[in-house]
Amino acid sequence: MNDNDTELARLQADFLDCLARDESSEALTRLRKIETSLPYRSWMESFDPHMTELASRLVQKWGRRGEP
Amino acid sequence: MKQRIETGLSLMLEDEYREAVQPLFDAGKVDVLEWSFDMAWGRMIPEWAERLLRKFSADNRLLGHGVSFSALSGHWSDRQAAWLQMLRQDLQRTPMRHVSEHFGFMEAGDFHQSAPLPVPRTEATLAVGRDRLQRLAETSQLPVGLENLAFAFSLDDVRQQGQFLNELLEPVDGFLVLDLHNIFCQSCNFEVSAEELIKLFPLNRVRELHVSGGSWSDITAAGQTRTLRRDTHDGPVPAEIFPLLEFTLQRCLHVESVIVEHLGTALNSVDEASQLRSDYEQVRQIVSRHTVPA
Repeated sequence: MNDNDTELARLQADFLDCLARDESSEALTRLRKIETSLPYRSWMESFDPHMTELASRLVQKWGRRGEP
Repeated sequence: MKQRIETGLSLMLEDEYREAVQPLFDAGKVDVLEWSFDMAWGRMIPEWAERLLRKFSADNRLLGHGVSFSALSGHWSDRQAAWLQMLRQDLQRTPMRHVSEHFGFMEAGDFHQSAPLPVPRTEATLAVGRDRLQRLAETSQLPVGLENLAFAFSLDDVRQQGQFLNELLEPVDGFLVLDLHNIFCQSCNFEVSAEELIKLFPLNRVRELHVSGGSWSDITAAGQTRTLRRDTHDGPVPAEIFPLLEFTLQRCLHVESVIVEHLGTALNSVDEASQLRSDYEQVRQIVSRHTVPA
């Protein structure tokens, strides 16, 4: 069993945190500030700005934090 | 020997949904029922829905389709472990033919729920996804599958998803739930041919097809507004989906069932209910023209 991949887990947590923020800056600009390793960084470089903005809207709508 | 392909519905618990689809059940036109079991956890299941679940389960015509497992989360959580335990209990009470979930992740950090989002294909994400599918297979002791995701961050995400899914499913010999409206969303949002996208998926693994409608949203970024397609399950099936269903059925030799999905909360008028039945009939008619090798 492979319980955790720490780097992926950290990236995903930062990722949702960035997308959930309702700020004046664009979601893609916020995401690209996340520090992570090359494969994930180059993945984020490929993002479409409109799709990233949509993701931000979806996470703001459906995201729930804290205990389930 | 040829085998017919089944047509079915994704069960919703709202009374408006029951009223809309009851004529289809009464006419014996619902061959299989898909059940998003985890969406009912903590909710009261109405007696009419319980009856349907028992009947379709007893006839081995109930298909499990989870929503909130988060198969590609890097952190294995207590919530996911509890999710598997709940599934095990559900299966003891209400046996299902197979169980599927979704590509992507929706849980990370202190988020226990979110919108399902894709991950890139790396050795790490592949290992995580395979591990989660293995756990799902061991818990359920059933064939397990994954559904393609509607949302993508880039055209690269779109193009890689089929191969990534194949690699994820391979060790458990899992199946693919190919959602045609999800493909349609990607086709619209990235201006690529839906037929070309479908060919990028491991079609020999397709056991279930999904058909639904959705909606459009205006999204502004970099000073420009674009209208994007979303898989919201709250509208009529787009006309483009029907020929796409025909195209896909011709290429999926192991498909067992085609499921029409519609939110129960989005049936607010007689016209909307009638549209759902009409879409279902059209899907059923297309499906009836196809068979697969037994």
